[in-house]
Amino acid sequence: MSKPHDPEKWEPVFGQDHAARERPSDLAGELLAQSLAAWRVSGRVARANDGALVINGNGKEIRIERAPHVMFRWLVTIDGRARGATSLLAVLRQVREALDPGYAASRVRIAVAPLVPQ
Amino acid sequence: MTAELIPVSVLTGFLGSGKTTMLRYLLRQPEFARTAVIINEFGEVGIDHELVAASEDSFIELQTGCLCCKIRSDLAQTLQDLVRRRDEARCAPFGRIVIETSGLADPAPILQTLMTDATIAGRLVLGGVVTTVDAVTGAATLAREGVSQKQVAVADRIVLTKLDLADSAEGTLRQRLAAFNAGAPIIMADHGRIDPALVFDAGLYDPRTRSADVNAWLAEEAHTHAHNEHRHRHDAEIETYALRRREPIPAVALTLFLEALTEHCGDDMLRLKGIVNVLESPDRPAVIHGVQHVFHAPAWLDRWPSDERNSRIVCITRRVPQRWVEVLLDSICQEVADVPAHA
Repeated sequence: MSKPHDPEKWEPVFGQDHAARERPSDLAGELLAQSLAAWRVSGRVARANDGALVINGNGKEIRIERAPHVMFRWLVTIDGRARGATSLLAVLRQVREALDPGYAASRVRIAVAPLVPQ
Repeated sequence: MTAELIPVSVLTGFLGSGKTTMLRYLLRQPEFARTAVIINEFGEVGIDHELVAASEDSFIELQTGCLCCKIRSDLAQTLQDLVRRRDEARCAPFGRIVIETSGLADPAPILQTLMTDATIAGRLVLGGVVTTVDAVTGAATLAREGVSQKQVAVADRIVLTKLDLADSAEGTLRQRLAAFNAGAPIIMADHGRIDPALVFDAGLYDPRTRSADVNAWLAEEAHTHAHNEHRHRHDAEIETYALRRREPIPAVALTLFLEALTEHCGDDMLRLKGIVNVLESPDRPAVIHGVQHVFHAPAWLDRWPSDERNSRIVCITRRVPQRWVEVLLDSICQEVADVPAHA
């Protein structure tokens, strides 16, 4: 868990400094590794020297790192092409689309009936 | 005045597992006097309704085809008509509806119809799912038939039938049932005879008390205990596990978690139910429930049902590893916590 946000001390960060300051957490790495297993996709997750997470699977190399600007939290580079991702869920989506050709996302449908009377 | 909400229970179970025999007995009991019944028969000539028709106080709607795949819209229409007849005093004022599915039906689409059809949403509330299992052939059926596994997996109650014909293999069958759905209590039926109180009041909402009995509905202690015992004995890909979290979960993290489960698991998240300590609502827990990709909006309880304030989420899944679900939730909570509130 992170420290509570203090608006007085917060400063927006831009450029490489931001990316260098924040490495993807070990938990993010475990999530990616567990995701490959859950999707039954062969591959492995490793941490590069610069702190980025790198997935090798299905003949592709996917590099995941914190984005160097605040527009996106993450930068996902697949076979040399970089795309931003706003959240870990967006990272997962990009990774799965790259590694699992048969993947078709399901969308949540919200029931109209109440679970219990309101 | 608010109209009375009528619980709809689903009675399912594989072909020949004793659904109709049990229902026939139940409908003769005083507790079931105000029950309407919808029987779904698969085939041109129905037989089951003739067997159940001995009950004078029940109503029977027949359908031909399978509710789970062909005539879901007909189910909603049938329910709507039934409620209208009741409101117009064209039939006895039933207080419960039981849907007996065909033996080959996947119950999930039927539950989804009950959850998503706007025409019935204001009058009906999802009751429990009761699944009958034949003690003689149940183990073989479970090993062979995927739909039988799903019928057991989504159950709130499992009823073992034909025990008088079964040999000593009942223990093995119980282990298999626990592997598919550890939390559903297993009840014995003797020639269809069973305590009515044990079966059809198995949903979250109890119409007698007009309140939600979350602990009984979750039965997550049983899930956890049995899961640990049978973890390495699964002979199928369906399993049940419970997640517990002491730290409150931010509302947005809960939403993202459910969205991610749906997105990546699809139909393999057979059922999910839980009570959640939401960070923004410490005194009023959220109750969540989903069947595959369909989720109810969270229900907010007035208070915690006990002193325990941990979040407890029970997942019944097919080929979805527990560790992935746990790490997914933790990762999302971590990311939400890392995002500055006003960034």
